[in-house]
Amino acid sequence: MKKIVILTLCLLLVFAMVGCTSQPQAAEEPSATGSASASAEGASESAAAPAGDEMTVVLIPKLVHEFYNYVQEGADQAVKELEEQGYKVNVVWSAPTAADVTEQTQKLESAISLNPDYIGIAVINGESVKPMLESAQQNGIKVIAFDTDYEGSTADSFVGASLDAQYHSGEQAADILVKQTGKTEGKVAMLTGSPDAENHKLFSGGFRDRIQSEYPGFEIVTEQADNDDKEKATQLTEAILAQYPDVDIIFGGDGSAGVGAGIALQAAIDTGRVEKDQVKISTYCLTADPQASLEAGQISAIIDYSPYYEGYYTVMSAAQEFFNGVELQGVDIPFGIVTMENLATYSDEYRQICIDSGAEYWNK
Amino acid sequence: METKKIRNKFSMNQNVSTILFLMLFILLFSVILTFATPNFLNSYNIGIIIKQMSFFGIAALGQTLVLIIAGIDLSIGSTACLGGIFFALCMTTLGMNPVLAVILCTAIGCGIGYLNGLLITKLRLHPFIVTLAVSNIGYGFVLVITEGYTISGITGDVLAMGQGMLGAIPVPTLIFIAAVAVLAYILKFTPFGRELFAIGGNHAAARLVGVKVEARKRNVYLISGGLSAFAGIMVACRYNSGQPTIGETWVMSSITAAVIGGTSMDGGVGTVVGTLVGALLMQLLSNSIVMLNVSQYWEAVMTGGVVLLAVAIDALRTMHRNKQLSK
Repeated sequence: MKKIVILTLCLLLVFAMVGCTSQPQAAEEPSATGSASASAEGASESAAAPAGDEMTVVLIPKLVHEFYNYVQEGADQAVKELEEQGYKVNVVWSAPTAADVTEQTQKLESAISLNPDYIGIAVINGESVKPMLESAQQNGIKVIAFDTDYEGSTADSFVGASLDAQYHSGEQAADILVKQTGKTEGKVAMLTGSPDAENHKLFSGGFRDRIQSEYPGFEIVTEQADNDDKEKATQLTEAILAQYPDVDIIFGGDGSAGVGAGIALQAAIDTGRVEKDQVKISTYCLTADPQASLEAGQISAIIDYSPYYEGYYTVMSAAQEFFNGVELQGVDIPFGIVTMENLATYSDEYRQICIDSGAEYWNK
Repeated sequence: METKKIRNKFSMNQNVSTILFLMLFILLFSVILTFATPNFLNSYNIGIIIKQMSFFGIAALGQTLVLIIAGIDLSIGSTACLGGIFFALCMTTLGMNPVLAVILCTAIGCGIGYLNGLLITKLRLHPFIVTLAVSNIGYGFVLVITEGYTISGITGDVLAMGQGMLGAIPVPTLIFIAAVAVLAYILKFTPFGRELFAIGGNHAAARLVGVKVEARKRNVYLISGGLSAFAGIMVACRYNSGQPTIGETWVMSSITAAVIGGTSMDGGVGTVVGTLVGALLMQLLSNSIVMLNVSQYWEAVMTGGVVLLAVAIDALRTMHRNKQLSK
């Protein structure tokens, strides 16, 4: 009986190993649909370098999150377009389950042992991954930082919003929200995102400075950190509307803040606490939730920064160098403003904004 | 037997005094806030405070029962998240009847809780490890199911569970109070409730007097899982959607609310009314940060301070109790 149990366990182990090792193969052979994303876990074991006419890119976001799903969608779209042009591209998607430096470092180690042509990474902490990225570069792997640039970066290029653009996006939010109120004076509340997120600080800094310098009639009555958490943003906004029922503007300094604030605002309107159309709310990134909030009238502006194009241009810029010899250059992803007036046409407009800002430098 | 009676009576008095102390503290704090800002004491603000405490408060009730039996449930956040996600799937993708969906998703939470209890009692594993592992698995499943996306599109009357008002009182608060009433009755007036205190106080002695310790523990984890999933469903109703990040902060909040309310982390002592008052105090503190326009950077200090205060009060209470019992 004992032998049978041991034999069964051995067979299960073999099946499990076969199951695990079949994944890298899938990563190396993109599906017919062009959606070539696959896990890098275990892929390092095969460590097969691609042939000259086949490019492999490993993309490592900060974590599994709706925002990075759009990055992945953009990368998949780039693969699809490149395949239609006859290029063979493998994209390996390797996302940490949480925004944890250690987990991201492990993903990076696995990616390096896969020996891809390019590694695209949204770094959580630049200092932690810098030595490993330099080692990858010494081994001939090109590094593209996407989404988040970092001090002292040695990456071969950066695809994302520049620090100046991030700051300016806060200014853009101030301009559109003040314009939407139609007033010259009023009260402003700020939901400033995560206190330790550099981009959130820049967004909020740009907004705050713009309000104080250009719109002296508007007073910032409170600033609260929502930690990029909808539940927290809702609770804070409920308290803000209790304390400042005459507030005119609520600035959402991340992708969750405005959505949470919009839910609180809707409840306050339903109970008669505030008037409909009294409060103008903004948030970041045109993803599904903010779009639904905009359509429901809970928020009035989205400061869009497209994660989709981060993924798209990371893969595209790598492919242009790999297949066509166009030297790798950074791609500055611009910010756009979405309101109900331009929602229907925005996607097409945004692509043109990207092209106009020089994102597709290989077509010049 | 006499010692047990004295001990129970002492614990009860201790709980009542803790609750009264907390209520006095809340009253004083509210008076200060009323003088500090005229917008504190109005129906809208009181309404949002009691509504906000209700969601994590329901999960904290389950945590209270678990703490009473000297356990801990670190999986309440992920169970709540899974409850909300499954509910959103049932309501949107499957188009299920809302009542059926609520029952089914609460049952899933009960199942997760029962699994915790089963692993703890059958394999003699520490609750901390088991519920931590189950929590990780739970959040893992959330990511597998949602891929990080929100599941939107819940509609209909069922949304009242998270957004509704009955007169001036939010429906979530009414549900919370009803849950407190039911559990308070069970703990005080049923053999099951009394057995939980006996298990938490001294599980070996409880076993000797015929209490089915393992079965009761499994039941308590089942209740905790069910309440967490139900709270997750309520949050899904509040946001019209299943959110993959809901509940991440609930473990700490639920333990803090229970301990502030007089529940001992050593087991054998605690009340659900105390947890309600503890949750109210926590929400009041959170509200006061905006009301008093305290710098956002101080919030973590304040929250951590309250946790530390709660643990210190618990330690002092336990020391005092032990001293009294040894006399």
